[in-house]
Amino acid sequence: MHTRIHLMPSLLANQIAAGEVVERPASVVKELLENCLDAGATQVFIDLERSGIECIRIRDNGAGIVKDDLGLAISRHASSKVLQAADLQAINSLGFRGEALASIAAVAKVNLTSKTQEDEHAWSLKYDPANENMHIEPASHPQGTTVEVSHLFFNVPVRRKFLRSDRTELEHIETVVKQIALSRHDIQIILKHRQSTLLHSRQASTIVQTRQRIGAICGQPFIDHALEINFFDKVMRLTGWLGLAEASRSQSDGQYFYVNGRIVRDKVLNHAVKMAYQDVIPEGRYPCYVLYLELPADTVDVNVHPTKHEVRFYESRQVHDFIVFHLERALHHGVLSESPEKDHEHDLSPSTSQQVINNKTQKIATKPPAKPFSEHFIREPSARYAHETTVEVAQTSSVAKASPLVIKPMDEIKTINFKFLGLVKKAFLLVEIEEGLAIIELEKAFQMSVYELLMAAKPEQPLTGQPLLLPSLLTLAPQQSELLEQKVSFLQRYGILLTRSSQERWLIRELPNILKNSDVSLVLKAFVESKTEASHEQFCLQFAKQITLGDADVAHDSKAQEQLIKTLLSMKDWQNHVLKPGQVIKLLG
Amino acid sequence: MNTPQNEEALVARAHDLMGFSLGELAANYNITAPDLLLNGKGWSGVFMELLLGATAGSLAEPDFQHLGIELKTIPINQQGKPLESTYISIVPLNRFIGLKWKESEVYHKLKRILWVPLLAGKTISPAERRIGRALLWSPTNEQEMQLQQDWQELMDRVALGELDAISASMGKYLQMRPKGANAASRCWGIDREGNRVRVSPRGFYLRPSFTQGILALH
Repeated sequence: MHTRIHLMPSLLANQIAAGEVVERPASVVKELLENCLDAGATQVFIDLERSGIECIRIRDNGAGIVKDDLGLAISRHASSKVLQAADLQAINSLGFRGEALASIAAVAKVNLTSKTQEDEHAWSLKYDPANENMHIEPASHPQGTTVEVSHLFFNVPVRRKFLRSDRTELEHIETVVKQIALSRHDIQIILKHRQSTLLHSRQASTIVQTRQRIGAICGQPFIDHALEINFFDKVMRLTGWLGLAEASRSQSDGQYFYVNGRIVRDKVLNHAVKMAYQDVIPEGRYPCYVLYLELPADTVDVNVHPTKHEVRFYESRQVHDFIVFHLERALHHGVLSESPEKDHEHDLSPSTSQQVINNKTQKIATKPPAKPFSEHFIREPSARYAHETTVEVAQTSSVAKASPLVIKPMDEIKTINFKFLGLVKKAFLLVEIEEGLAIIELEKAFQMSVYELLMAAKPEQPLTGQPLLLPSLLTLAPQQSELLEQKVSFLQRYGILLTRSSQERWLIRELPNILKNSDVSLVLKAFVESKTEASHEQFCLQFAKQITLGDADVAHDSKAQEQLIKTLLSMKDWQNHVLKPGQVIKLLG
Repeated sequence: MNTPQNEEALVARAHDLMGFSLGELAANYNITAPDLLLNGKGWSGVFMELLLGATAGSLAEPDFQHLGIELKTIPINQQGKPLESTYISIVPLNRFIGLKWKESEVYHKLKRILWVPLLAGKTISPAERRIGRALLWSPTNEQEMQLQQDWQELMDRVALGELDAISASMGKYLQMRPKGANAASRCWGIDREGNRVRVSPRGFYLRPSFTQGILALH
């Protein structure tokens, strides 16, 4: 029997997806709290029954949800925070995936009650995933939203099994609430378990209130021994509190790092903080800190993982170094702030410090630029290499299958179209042309091109020489040296530059490009010894006849060889050239 | 040897040496060139510094301090191909925080270089090495951009303690390789966790393909 592929029921799909987002009661609390913050709430009340497994009730005074949207709120990929892909470039809200409530509603019973400012009364939605039954009715509720999540994982027994003791689950919730409480000092948060208050974070707007709030969450010893820092540059701002050795812990649970108000556990950031804390905290102990990094939303990617503890910086090195630099100044040199006069009058809660800093920066007439990093770092488009042409040796050409070959020198070759078949025995170029098969002696062809080049040199228009990386040495007898002295200017006409470095030593410093890798010294020696006054034509012919291939490009580079053939074929009557570079074989049959 | 007072004088002096072998020049100074067995590596460079009157013996400063010019002796074969990569500077494994390209030692060394090609090879003893045509070079905008990108990429890794992830194949022009008198030498670096650890020192090197391009253009 075949097992067929079928679409999953949406509830099952949601349950699977929920596994990523909703791991334990604390994840529910986190998602719901973030919704409160995104809704602009200033008061949040959390009530728990049996460590949240039985019931989590979270009430806020935020914007609320209109009646018609209540059903949408619990469907997957429904969100008021992100409308289009472009919004993902700069996420300013905590949530954005549009899967929190839907995921929760797939694994628990959800009761959503909400009232917006415009509504006359509240509406309540009850949803039971067991029968996918959604029921909406009028309700009584002040402006804001209450979400009640009960019987968590009642329909996912496996998850339920993985839950730890009530005590542990409660600790996880407390951690989450503390993390959120530290991210926004302007929000009152009360956490209750079975009617007893576990945490009460009061709104803080002055420095004293803020310190009290931090002390209530991180412990009084921490805030008593913490360095309060405030650094900023044109792009980033780093504020917060650095615990010293007195407040160090045996676990890393006193470490809070926020990026744009979002708690993160990031490799780059941890690395930077650890580096800065070097030699401050005893071996085996962990520092406590509460740090807030703010940077333009388009320079950081929070869309990495559903639980969103990781972020990705577009310029991680810059962020890393900014943190190490300033934290080291604070921890090792006692520099706590960028501006010399520290202003204690200002309140320093993260939400309002934005304005403080903005006021300050405006005074110095610098505003954080919108696109801060781009100019630092220009990435070159990947280099494009010129397409390399390869010379193929034709295997199915007429040449290969021709049987009786008759060698017949031809006088008139008109074609310039050719197919380079290859180099034979490192000495002969094999070329297929219309008239037949051309066999060209490589060295002769080379000499011919040298000859043509030298012949083109005119007294009023000398050839240009290329400086040699490694000038060739020419050692002559004193007598010959004197002879050469008289011919230096003659040679310069051909792009050959010689300088005398001692009685008998000469340096060949420049040569025409074509002669770059050839041994010219022997030819020149012969030229000096000939003593007679050579004419232009004689010199060119003698020079060309004596020059050897040496290490010239055409000796090993097929592209140069092809170019040589092209030059040669474009010359009229090339096979009858004084240097007789080659022959053409006519193919019969 | 007194030091040249300007670029032109320096280049002229370097061109005067063109074509001579190190052995011939050493004889003028009553210096004996080391033979191949003693490993002539390093000696040629030091000797060239002496010949050209370089001022900075120290590491961080350009060789001709007052001219801002770094001297690089570059061994090449008969075809003008560099035989090895060119050492530029030590990698700051423990002092890189906030270090920017324009402040880096690499940038300052690469800003202006007097390249002195030296015909060398396995069968050529230090005394037989012949001096080629020296050339004064500064990176083009395009070259500098690529060098900066290479440097940035490598230093990003260093900063995050990812030394183990850096291979010699990274970087188009600039590469990072172990540098040290022997494999056991150690200096301070940072690991992936942010801890200070003992690591083997690294150096920045220019790839031969890059230096060949420089030499070919002149």
